[in-house]
Amino acid sequence: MPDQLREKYETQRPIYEKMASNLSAEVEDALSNLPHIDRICFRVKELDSFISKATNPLNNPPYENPLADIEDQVAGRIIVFFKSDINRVADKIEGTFRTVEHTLRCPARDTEFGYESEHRIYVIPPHLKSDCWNELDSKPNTFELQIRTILMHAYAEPQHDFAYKRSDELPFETRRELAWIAAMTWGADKAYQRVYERVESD
Amino acid sequence: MDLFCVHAFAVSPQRLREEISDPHGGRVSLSLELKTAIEENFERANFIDKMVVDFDFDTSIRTNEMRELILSYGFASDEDRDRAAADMAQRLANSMDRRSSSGLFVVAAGRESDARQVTLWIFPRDSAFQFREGEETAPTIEVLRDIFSQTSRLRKAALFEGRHTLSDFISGHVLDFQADKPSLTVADFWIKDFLQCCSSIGGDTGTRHLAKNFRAAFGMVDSPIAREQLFAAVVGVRASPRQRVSMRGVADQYLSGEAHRVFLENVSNDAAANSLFIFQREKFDASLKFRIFELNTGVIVTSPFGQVGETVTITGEQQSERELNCSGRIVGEKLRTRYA
Repeated sequence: MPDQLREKYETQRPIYEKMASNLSAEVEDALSNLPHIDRICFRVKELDSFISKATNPLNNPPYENPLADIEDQVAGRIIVFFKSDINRVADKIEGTFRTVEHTLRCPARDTEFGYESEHRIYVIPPHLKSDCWNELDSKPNTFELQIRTILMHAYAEPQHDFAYKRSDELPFETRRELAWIAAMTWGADKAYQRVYERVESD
Repeated sequence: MDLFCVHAFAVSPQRLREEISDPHGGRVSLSLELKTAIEENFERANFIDKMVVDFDFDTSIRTNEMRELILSYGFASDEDRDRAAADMAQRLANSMDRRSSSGLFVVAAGRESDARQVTLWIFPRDSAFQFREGEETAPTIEVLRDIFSQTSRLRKAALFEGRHTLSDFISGHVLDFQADKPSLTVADFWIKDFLQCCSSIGGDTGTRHLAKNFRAAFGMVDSPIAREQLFAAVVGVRASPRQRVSMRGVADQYLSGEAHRVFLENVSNDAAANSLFIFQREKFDASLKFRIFELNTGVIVTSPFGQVGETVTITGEQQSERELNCSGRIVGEKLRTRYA
């Protein structure tokens, strides 16, 4: 199955690339009048990453049709300056795409620090679907969009590089240091927001 | 898809009524004649080109009541399917007020491998004449009052299909000739109140794309007549009381010939062309921005769209005779090395 899946995903990738570019243009257009947008980027999931997710033995239930069921095959990220910009951006995007799911990824306990980001699943709208897209027999109906601040991103991106190791496999000291970095960026985000509000009210 | 199950209920409006009467009906046996009639209705509906709607999810738990009922109808046991059909009929009756006529609610499911196709219909109550001419008796006309029309423009339908997964059955195609009516209460009953859906194209997006289409078409048409049509269409759309519009609706109402063709060429597919969205006038003006005129004197006039016909006026019928006049108080002045 992985070989067939690999082949099919590779065949469909150029069509996904076009979709990613359509989505990116749509988001840029929708947010064109909003300040504090650091960057908007869309990507198509790397082949190895897709196969690894599709065939992960920990999937419960396993994906029956990964080409349709994995929702971040095409995904985007919007990086904003301040925490208050996240809702502003999300509100604007609500007028552009239909939201299916909205989750705030954050540590489970108040004494923990770690990855934080807004993850949203949106429906791919009909006007962005090309004829090629509509002809695919297995394709996603949704895409994922993450909205986060520069500082959330500053913690998340390098940390993501260690994700090939499960966090409980990392030594205690390394996990503590990662938590400390997360706490620093969390605090800096809060401070930046306060500074921004103070400057705006002057 | 192989049609395997049909339920039908007589429903009458319940919203705003003091006495509640439950819809009555249930599973119907699938005769060859009924199967053929449903398949013919399906063909006639041409769902693939129809407006796309998305379920309006509770995004924190990713659920939608109507989606759950439709999934139950497509995939659950016979008992649960009966219950889902009855719940949908009740929901439909509760969504209808006195402005809606009573009708026949039909829900049908087809299957192919692990995929299902669920179609929902409401056929309005109607009356008809049945003419009979016997060989030895005088012709008679019988008045049939308890019938439901398969061709009325008040009929409505919806199609949802896919497998029982997280990301299937999140969008569907809808047939609803009332959806673009100026009154949103009338327009909303099938899509918003009953199906718990909303147009797949949001007002902000649709309006931006409408403006973008006009801009692109202005640049692509060759004839001055087509350009004039496009401008008249812009003015018409802005002034129209219709709150919901579609690309095709705008094209059909205001454009013909080259302008009609070029305008629709810019829309990616039929479903997108037919999908309604709420027109946002301010967004439209902001997206369309300016109309630029070049005069025979070398003067170039840039005007916000909203001012053409107001402080910027054009006189003369023929292209060669048209003259522009504008007036206003000067509030700024610049020197530039070039026009734009």
